[in-house]
Parts: sequence; structure tokens; C-alpha cells
Amino acid sequence: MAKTKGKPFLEIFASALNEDYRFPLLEVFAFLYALGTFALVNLMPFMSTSTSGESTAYAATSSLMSVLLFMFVILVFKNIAYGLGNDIEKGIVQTYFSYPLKRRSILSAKLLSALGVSLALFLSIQISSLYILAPNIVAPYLGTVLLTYLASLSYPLLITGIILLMTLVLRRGGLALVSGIVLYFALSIVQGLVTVLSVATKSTLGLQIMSVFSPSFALSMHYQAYGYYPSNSQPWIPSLTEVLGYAGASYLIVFSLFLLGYLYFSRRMSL
Amino acid sequence: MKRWTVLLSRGGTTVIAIGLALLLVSLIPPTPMGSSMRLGPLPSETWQTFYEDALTPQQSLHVTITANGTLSIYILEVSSQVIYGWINEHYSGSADFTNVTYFNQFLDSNGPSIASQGETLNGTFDYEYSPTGIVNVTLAVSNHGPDDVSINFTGSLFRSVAPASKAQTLSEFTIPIGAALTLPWLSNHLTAKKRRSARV
Repeated sequence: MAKTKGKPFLEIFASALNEDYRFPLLEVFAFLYALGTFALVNLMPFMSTSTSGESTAYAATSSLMSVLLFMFVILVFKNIAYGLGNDIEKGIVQTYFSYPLKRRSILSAKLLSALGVSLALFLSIQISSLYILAPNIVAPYLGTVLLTYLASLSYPLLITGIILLMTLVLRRGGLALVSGIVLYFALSIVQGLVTVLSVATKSTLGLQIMSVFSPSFALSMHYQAYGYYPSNSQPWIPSLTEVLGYAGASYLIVFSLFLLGYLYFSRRMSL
Repeated sequence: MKRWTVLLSRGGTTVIAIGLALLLVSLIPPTPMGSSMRLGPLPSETWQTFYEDALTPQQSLHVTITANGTLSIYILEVSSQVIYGWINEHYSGSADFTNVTYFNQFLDSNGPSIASQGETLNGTFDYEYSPTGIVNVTLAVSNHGPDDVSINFTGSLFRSVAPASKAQTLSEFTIPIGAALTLPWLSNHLTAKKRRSARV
């Protein structure tokens, strides 16, 4: 039974892999991830401000995020918006529906290729490169390194969920892709506004709401690494438990969005 | 062509790409970040710190010391405050911090903090130190001899993208592994090509 179900799943997964990572896309991204990790990591500026190994581990990991995370996001958005969108537009998904496989498994196979493979590539290259560079950061503070990735990936995954929903509802990927990129950049604008407002109103509510959508913001506040505030004047320093709470809430939203996508694909989507 | 062959070959080409990135990183030459110089005598039976900084694995320290006598040189992975604190703790009150006896006792009790040690050979000492982690580094020089020694110290700091030797070693492993993974696909591809051309 498992064999009959597994084979069509692998068939769709292989087809999605072939479509999402045409030669030499995967190789180019692997090359850039590895090269970028070494070129972008900056352990030095944090030396004087870091008070503990934990904050150094956070600083080193977050220094890798900006450009490489954007590259990862572009790859995932392209895979979902164009990969899945094109399959829906061209009627390939209808062909998949004829396979002896539940609809949710078809979507899982597509997402495993579009998101799972990219995520595995991104994390494995970055963490191992970071380990080569500074083993005494990664080994003893692996928890902090993983938490930094967890917090930083939450917002991109949230937008990925929105793109998935938009692609399924609109049945095309172009608009979803553009919206995703706009939303990705909107975060930094909103973050800036919320920060200014928090100072003006002397309220931390905006910062807390912001952290629900982007727990990396709360994490940077926890390590007092958010550049806006002068030293010792940060209005809100969340505890590590609070940061974990925000990360949990954020992933709950991400999970809900993907669940909605699954429900729509399984029950409402008529092709 | 079998799917596993294609999958293996894509894995192989990805590993080759990572290996090439590492090779490229290892070929980028280190950038000089500045240097410090110090001239002066080191009295008999004393020790002094000549360099102190927090270094990362991306940095390397090139030390050149010339002296007119035999000196012991230590690269310690602690800050000088730790050494002074230890001496103060064990010999409180009377401590002459520059006394080499106290320093030797610190070294005996804190062996793991010695990253490297050496002596001036024919009046010179040349060494390049790259930390494996983020560490406070102190370069200390001690004069155990009965005479004062004149020292000329130069410490140059370099910054590299990655520890070159590590990146190079890894690339030397990853590229052949990647190439080996692509071999089944390559052989299948060439066989198929031969067959096609034979048919024509």
C-alpha cells in the first residue's frame, strides 16, 4: 500500500525538483550561499559590544542574513509563484490529480521541492560554513544560532504562505511573486515606523505586535543589537522566554497560512 | 537514464559548486589591517605584554621579534587582565607584576591558555598566529636571562575572508567527492551519445 502511494509522490517530487532547480540553478545558489557566508560574516564589530558568547553567536549569525536571506527568499518565491503557478496555469496539476494520490500529498510534494530543498540547502551550507569559520561559536551556542535562524526565517515563511495562497486563489504566479517581494521589503519600512512611534508614544505595544510577525525583531531587541536606539536607552528588552513566545506565535500564523493553502487546494480548488 | 543517477549527479555538481566557492575563498589574499611596533629593553628576570587584542578566525597576527639575547615568547589566549588578576589573587599586596617567576607560575597553572610558545633563535622570532575561535590574545615576552635584552617588536594584523588552510583542505575533499558523484551520470551520458552517433 505504502509502495503504491510512495511512487506517485516521488514521481511528482522528482518532476517538481527538475522544474524548480533546472541546471545550473541549484549549483549557482549553493556556490553563492557558500561564498556569501564567508564574505558577509563579520565577527569583528561585535567584539566590543558583545557581553557574552551567546550575543556574539547571535551577532555572527545575523550578520549573514541580509543578502543571503534575500537570495533564499527569491528562490523560494520563484519556486512557489512560478513553479506552482505555471503548473496550475498549464494544467499540469490536473494531470497530477489523476495520480492515485490525495491532493494534499501533491501539494506536499511540490512544497517539499520548492521550500524544503531550498531551506535544507540554505541552512546546511550556512551553518557548516559558520562552523568552519568560528567553531567555538557554533558548537557551544548552537541553540542561539538555530534560534536566530528560526526567528529570521519566520517572516519569509509567512510571506511564502501568503504567496502560496495568492497563487492558488489567482491561479497564476506573477502577481503573487511581485506582492511577495513588496511585502518582504515592507517589513523594514514598517519596522522603522513602529520604532519611531514607540519612541514618540513611549509605548512598546507596536514593538510587541511587530515581533509577532517578525520575531527576529524581538531577538535583536533581546540582544540589544537593534541599531536605532543609543546604548542603554532601548525601551523594551524582551526576555528569551518572551522571544520564544513571539517565535511560537509567528510560526502559528505561518502554520495557519499553510493550513489554509492546503485546505483550499484539497477542498475548494476546482480545476 | 535512471533517476537516481541524475539525482546523484546533481548532488555532485552542487558539492563541486560548494568546493569551488571554498577554493575561491581560500585564494583571496589577506588584507593588512595595521601594524604596531615597539622598541626597548626588557630587563632581566621580567616579562612584558607586547600585543593585546580580541581576534577572530578571520584575522591573523604576524609577529616578528628581533633581540640581542634569548627570550621566551608566548601567545596566550587570555587578556592581560586575566594574568594580572591571577598574580594579584595569588600574591596579593607584594606583587611586582613584571616578575618572571609570577608569570611562569601563571603559565604552569594555566597551560591550556598557551596557544603558542617559542624562543628567539639567532636573535629573531617570526610567527603567524590564526585563532580557531573568537579569543582575547596577549603576546607576552619573558627574559629569563641575567642580562637586559633589547627588543624590536613588529606585530601586523591581517584579515582574511576565511581561514585559508581550512577552506583549501575542505575544497580539496569536496571537489573530488562531487566529481565522483557525477561520474555515473557522465558515463551514461557519454554512452548514450556514442550510441546516438553510431545510429546516425
